[in-house]
Amino acid sequence: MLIQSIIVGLIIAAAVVYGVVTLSRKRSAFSTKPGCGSDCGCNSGGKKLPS
Amino acid sequence: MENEAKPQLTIALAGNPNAGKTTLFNALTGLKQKIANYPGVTVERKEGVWIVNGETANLVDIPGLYSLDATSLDEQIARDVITGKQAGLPKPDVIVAVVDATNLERNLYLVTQLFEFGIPVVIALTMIDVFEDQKHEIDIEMVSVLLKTPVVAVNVKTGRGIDELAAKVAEVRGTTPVVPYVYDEGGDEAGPHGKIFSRYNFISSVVQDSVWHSDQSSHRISDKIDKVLTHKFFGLVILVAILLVVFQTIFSWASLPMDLLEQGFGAAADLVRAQMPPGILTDLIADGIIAGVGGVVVFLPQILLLFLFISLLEDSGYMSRAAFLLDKLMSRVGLHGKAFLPLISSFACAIPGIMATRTIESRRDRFATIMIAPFMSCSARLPVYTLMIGAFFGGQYVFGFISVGALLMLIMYSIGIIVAIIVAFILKRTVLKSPPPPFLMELPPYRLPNLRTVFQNMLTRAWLFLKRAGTVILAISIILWALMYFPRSSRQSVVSSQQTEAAKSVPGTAATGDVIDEPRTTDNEPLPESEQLKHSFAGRLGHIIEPVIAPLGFDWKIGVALIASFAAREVLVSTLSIIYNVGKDENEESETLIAAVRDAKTDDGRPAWTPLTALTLMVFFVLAMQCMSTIAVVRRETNSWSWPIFMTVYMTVLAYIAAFITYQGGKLLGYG
Repeated sequence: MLIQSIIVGLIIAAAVVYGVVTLSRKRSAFSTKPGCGSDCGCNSGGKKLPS
Repeated sequence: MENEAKPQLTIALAGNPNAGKTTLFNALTGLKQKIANYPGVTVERKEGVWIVNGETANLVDIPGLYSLDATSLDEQIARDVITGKQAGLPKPDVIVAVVDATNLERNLYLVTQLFEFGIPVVIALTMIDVFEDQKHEIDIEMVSVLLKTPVVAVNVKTGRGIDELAAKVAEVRGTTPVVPYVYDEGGDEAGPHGKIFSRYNFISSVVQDSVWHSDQSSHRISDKIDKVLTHKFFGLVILVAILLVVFQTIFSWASLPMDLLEQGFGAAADLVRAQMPPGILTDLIADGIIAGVGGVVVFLPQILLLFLFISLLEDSGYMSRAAFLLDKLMSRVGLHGKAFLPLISSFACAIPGIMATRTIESRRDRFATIMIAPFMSCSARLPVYTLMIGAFFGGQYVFGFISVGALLMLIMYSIGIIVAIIVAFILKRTVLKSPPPPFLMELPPYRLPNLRTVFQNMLTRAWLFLKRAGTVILAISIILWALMYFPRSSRQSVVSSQQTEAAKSVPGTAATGDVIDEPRTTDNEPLPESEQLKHSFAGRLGHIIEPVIAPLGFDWKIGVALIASFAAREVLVSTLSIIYNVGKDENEESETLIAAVRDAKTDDGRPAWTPLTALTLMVFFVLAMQCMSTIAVVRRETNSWSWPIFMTVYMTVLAYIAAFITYQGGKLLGYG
């Protein structure tokens, strides 16, 4: 019973860690990098598209 | 890819949208593909390995574009790739320009621009079978001579020209290309468009000297079909009929494999219970992992069929006709014509749809499209609709042959489109006010769908769905199971906590501690599972929000699933599956999720679900913003938190109001 509880604890911890890592990766993937314009790629020199 | 030597040869694949670029890319690279995003932006970067005369080449698929004038993001990225300015990609050694033979003049415009980069170009002439079916003839040798570059007719279906294309690429590698025309600057008369006129004059002369139109009958047939399919009344009737047939087929074809999958997961859970000793791990595997992940995976047949039909409609050229039909309506509300492709993509998933808005130059038009894209019913909503329809509307027909389920699906998709149009109308006249720019839409020729592309698309979607089920949904299922399983309560602890609450509500009693420490019973055995769930973390949270969702006809268990579904819509299904499994008492038999939903009871013994509750939930799901990934993409694309917050709030409020009207209105009409 104790072993079952330990395994379950580890599985839940792994799921939580996975969730936190995924969220933080998503956050960094979708944040604008310095030097990159909001509408253009990093190689565009931050030039904005005509609005 | 990882185990192979780094390719020395870089080849860029460029071409207009709908020119058959993706089909050719898939044929040349097979399964050796790598899909990522260009750095800092969310435009898809596709690379693959192509063996050119025994040498490994890195084939880079440039976004589909009409020109390199660099007004939209796709065009800027294409320029960056060709000029070698794109991070992590060397300047290409050769460009393979994919040219649609049925739209030669328009496609060659991009080619004339490609000539000016000093990189050798090989032209891959696609759609040659359609072109020849239209009784057109082309002198490929002549085109090659006039353009001073190799031209190869390719047909992915038959394999025609694939080897020759590789041979020509190897042949031109390292050579210096010749620009086959000179600019007629034209002095002041030509103005700033002198280059454009020069290019088109040159293209016209090439086409005149190399193409013959021997029969116009096929054009006439295509035009006649278009007259019906794009007719403002009959076109819409046909569109509705096609969608009804698609939904009806999805339901009828998917029912058998879905039942088999459901039985399979049920058997797996029973096997776990039979083979493993009773305990917390067995509960987690059977009620959390198998019920949670299995609850979502059983909808795989529907997802596969949905993408089969989407691919068939796209590949046949019908989707463009459908977009043309809706274009008239959308332009009236002030949306840019280019909004259609992003909105149509959003029926699969809002994320690529929102990314595709980058082709819209006007910021205000782009943001208006982003704000309404999540209203299009994406594939993540499909399991929710299917569960509700399967539980309460399955096997019912209108007029004896139209399935109620298919009709309800059509209604849900239509609600999304209609609300999107209304919201766009309001946004374009208030916060995003701007005149809609003119838009010219191209209707691609009708053609037989390429089965390879269709199946590849289906398999990609199936893989993404299963990957999501095996990662995100699995993690959420485990966490939700824990929230529904803990804390484990005994009768004694429950009575104690009830007394604590009572003591807190009576001033003075809590201070003595007498009432709190003296339980009314000494019974310390665990509670039945249904009671355990009620006192779990999730159960407590569900009870807290119950007053808010009660006017929508939802009990606290639906509330828990609703909260969880804000991470991703399909999590509702896995949460309900876990709730009804975790909350199942020992004497209750295992049943399918559809049966469990149908038989679920509220705390006071009334049915938790009715057909009206199911309909209300579907309406809520059409309109609510329940996808963290979409919120993240909107944040990225708008470069601000204000827009995703605005989107989440207005969509969720709208969803609540619509669900409230549906439920209370239904009750007033006597459907409660």
